[in-house]
Amino acid sequence: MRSVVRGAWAVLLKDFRSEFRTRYALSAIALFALTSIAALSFVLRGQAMQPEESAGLSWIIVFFAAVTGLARPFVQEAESGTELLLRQAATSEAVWLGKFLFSLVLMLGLEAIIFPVYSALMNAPVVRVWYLALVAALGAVCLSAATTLIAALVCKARARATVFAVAALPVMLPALVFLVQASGSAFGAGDAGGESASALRLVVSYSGILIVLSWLLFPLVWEE
Amino acid sequence: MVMVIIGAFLLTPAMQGLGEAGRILYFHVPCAWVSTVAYLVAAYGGVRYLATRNLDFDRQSAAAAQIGLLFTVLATASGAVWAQIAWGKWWNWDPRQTFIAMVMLLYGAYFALRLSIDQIDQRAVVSSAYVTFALVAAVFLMFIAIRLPHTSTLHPSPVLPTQADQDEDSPSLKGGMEPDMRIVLMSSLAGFTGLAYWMWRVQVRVDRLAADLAPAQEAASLEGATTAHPASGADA
Repeated sequence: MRSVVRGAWAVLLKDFRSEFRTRYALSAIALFALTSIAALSFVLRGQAMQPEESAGLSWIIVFFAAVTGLARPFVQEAESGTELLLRQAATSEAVWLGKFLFSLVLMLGLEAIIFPVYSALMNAPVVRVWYLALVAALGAVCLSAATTLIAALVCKARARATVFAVAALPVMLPALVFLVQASGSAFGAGDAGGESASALRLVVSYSGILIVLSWLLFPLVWEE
Repeated sequence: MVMVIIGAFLLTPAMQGLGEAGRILYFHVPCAWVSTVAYLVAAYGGVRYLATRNLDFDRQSAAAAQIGLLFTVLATASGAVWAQIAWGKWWNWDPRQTFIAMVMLLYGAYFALRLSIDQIDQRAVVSSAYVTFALVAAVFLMFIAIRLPHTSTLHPSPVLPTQADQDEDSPSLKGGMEPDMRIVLMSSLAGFTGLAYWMWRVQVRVDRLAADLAPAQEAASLEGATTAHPASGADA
């Protein structure tokens, strides 16, 4: 187990280093998110929205930003031809964990940009900040879990970016529904108990299932 | 199947509150059932392929997913017709409707993914892994997320009433069924399952033959090219 963690840490560090060398994924996703928030705010011009609508729109932005960015960890390996080297250098468990953590950090950073900017530009005050932070963190785990395996799968396909969006969205969609339900109360709808708590439980159990399954399937896909 | 159709229209009494339209039950429920079974078979084939790397399992899995998607569409369509009659709307965001739409997207994405990969072995690996992933997501949606408190559905509980259902005080909504209806529904389930099994066998055999023929066809087309070439040269 310790060797897996150490390997994963190495993979994670390597990904960060190569990412900071080019800053491709980070700048592309952040700009994508900011542009879509700007587009939305031009369309809506600061109209007051229902809390549920605010929650829904903000998560949709997070989702599409994730779809543009989260294929990156694996597709980048395929594009630069380093897949084989990585397969030699690290065990598949370490690769999975490293890539999962990289996606997770990417998602958390993304949400840290999206939610404050969204709240400020869209006239959507966040009532329960810490609760929203909790939901966002769980959402990041769930989305990274859903996309890690699929990113590894689409490396073998043609038109990777498009296929990734098509294949990842249906798996992420249940999470979207639950996350929107769960975060409605953060924007001021109802109370934090009841419905949003049960939606939050669904997010947790769904991510648990996805993590286990993706962990089990990944070695079979990675080592051929 | 013919027996089932006759039975559905002639033998059973019209349903209370729904009238003649209630007969759609005998087609809607089996479609949903068949698609569930087909997705299970698809995931089983996927897991077996990943374990054995025998391409035949991949063919079985893909054929089952195809049938599953077809019957999901049928179940959704017949469900929408039923919803229009019973609830007054084609689509009213009942949790089951929402989730079946997601399941359709999942398996639609499966075929999009499958079509985007040329190399046969890699296509098999990728689609096997995805179909397993999709099954778990689908099961989570259709059987777990739906059963939780705070998700209210207008669909009745499972067909065969459990003890808990019988304790509830609204038996009309909780799977209380006339014996006649139950017989027709059960035979309809059996008929649909048989039909789907037959379709699946045919599809698997077609795929197998296509795979067997592929090298021969390639060789033939190469041969054709080499023999055609001198002839065209002579014409010139």
